[in-house]
Amino acid sequence: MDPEKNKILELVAHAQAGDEFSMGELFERYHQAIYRFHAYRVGSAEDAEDLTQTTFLEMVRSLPQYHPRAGISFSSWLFSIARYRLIDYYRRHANNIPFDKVSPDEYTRMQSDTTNPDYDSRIPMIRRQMRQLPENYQTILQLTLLEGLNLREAAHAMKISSLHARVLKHRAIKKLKSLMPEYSFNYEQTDQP
Amino acid sequence: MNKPTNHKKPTDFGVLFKHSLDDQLPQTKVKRLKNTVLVAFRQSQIDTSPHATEEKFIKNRSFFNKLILRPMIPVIIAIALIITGTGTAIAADQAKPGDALYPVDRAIERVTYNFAFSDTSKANMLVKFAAERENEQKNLTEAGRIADAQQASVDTKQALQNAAEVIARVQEENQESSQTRAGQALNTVEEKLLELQNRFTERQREEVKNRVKNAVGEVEIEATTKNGQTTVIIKFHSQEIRYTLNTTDNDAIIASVQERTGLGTDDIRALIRVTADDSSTADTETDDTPGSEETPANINTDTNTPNLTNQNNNLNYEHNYNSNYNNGVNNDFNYNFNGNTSSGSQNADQGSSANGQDDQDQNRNINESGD
Repeated sequence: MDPEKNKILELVAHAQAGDEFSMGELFERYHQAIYRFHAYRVGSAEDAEDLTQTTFLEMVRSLPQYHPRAGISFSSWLFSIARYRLIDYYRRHANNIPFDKVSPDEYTRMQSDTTNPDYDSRIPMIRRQMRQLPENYQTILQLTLLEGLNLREAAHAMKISSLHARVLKHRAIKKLKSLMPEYSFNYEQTDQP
Repeated sequence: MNKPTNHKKPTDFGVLFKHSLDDQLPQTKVKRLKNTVLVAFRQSQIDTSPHATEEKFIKNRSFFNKLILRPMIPVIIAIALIITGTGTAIAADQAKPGDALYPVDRAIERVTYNFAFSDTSKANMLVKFAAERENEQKNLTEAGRIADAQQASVDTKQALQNAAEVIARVQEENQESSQTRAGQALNTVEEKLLELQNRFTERQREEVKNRVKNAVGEVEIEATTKNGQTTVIIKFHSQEIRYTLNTTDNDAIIASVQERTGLGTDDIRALIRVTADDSSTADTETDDTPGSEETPANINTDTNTPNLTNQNNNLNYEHNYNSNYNNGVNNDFNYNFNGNTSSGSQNADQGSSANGQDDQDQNRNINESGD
């Protein structure tokens, strides 16, 4: 078994027993992923921070009910919590947050990224178009492509079957590509910054 | 065609994706966030077992409540409707004649009456309705809504009459079937009715008194029945007229008063205060009984009194008024009094002739029944 996964299971067990250090370690390991998950979706850094906090508080509250399962990482459990917090947020802000828009500070951050050697003009576009996808499309793409969860774990986090997760992922990529036809993911496409 | 070099393969979609997601939480914020989480964690460790079970119980209960409440929704709506309906009914209960909800009030009363189980409770209800009418009348009079108050007065009279009729009927039925318990219950209802009737007449009297007072001045009429005779005292301003009739018939008394004052029959009926002197009537039904000797000497009212001008005249009165009586009379009011004795006796003759006729009729009836 993966030593890293073993280490995490150990930390979870200690935290469940009431060890504060283990709890801190878990936070250190996951806070960036959880923040990323939220920041990407809500656009505003403050809201993402709030969501991260509520996610971890919820994790603290329901940690006693967590039971490790073979082949399913702790992170998939954590992401399922994060996703529920996010859906909650969508529900509360359904009327006043334009999800398909990129906030100004986000935009400047993207522009400054041009100095990055890995910069690609499609990157901000991907981010912008992602917002137009259904919630479950966004989640499956984030969990599998970004956070490196396998399909089974992502399916567990989203409370769907593995088969459904696979189909969902395929459809999400197809949809995202269709949303940006001018930025085809082909060699022939010319770059237009 | 130039091949763009800075583009990656489609398989690098994941890489592109990753680069689009490079948001980082600042370290200061991470520290603060970690602190918050750890504090919450510590807190969760402090309140462990007992509170945890309690919380679990509450959680279960809230789930139970949800389960219970879902099928209850139609029931809740029904209850809400009933409450609002009752609200209208309660609001209507306060309605007075002339109010928008007054017909609703009466309709509700009719429905409740039809739902009444026993005759006694029906009678009770009618008395209650009459009380309500009476109260409405009072309120309307106080509010100065004269037309509505008159309507209420008519309604009250009708309600009292209805109640009295039902009580009489039920009493009869009870006597036939000798239901003592029902009779007792009915007696209390009847007492209530009597009290109400008294209050109603009292109020009528007050109202008429005020009206008459506004028109001509204060008038008091008292009648005392004794030994089949009636002494009537009329007080007007500072004058007093006293006379005696040889009858206890209300209509005759009222007619005689009307003769002298010119007031309306209804007004007199409301104003007159009839008291029965039981002490002497009990032992003196006829003139032959020794009790008749106890009758005061000043009432020389018998038909054979020599100083009467007319033999048929069974009416005697004393004029205690003085000459300025006539002058004090308001011109608006058609007052029938005459200052001199002769015309007064004339009036008395007219009044007595009618009364004498009545008495004759009564006697005839008695004779017929005797045969």
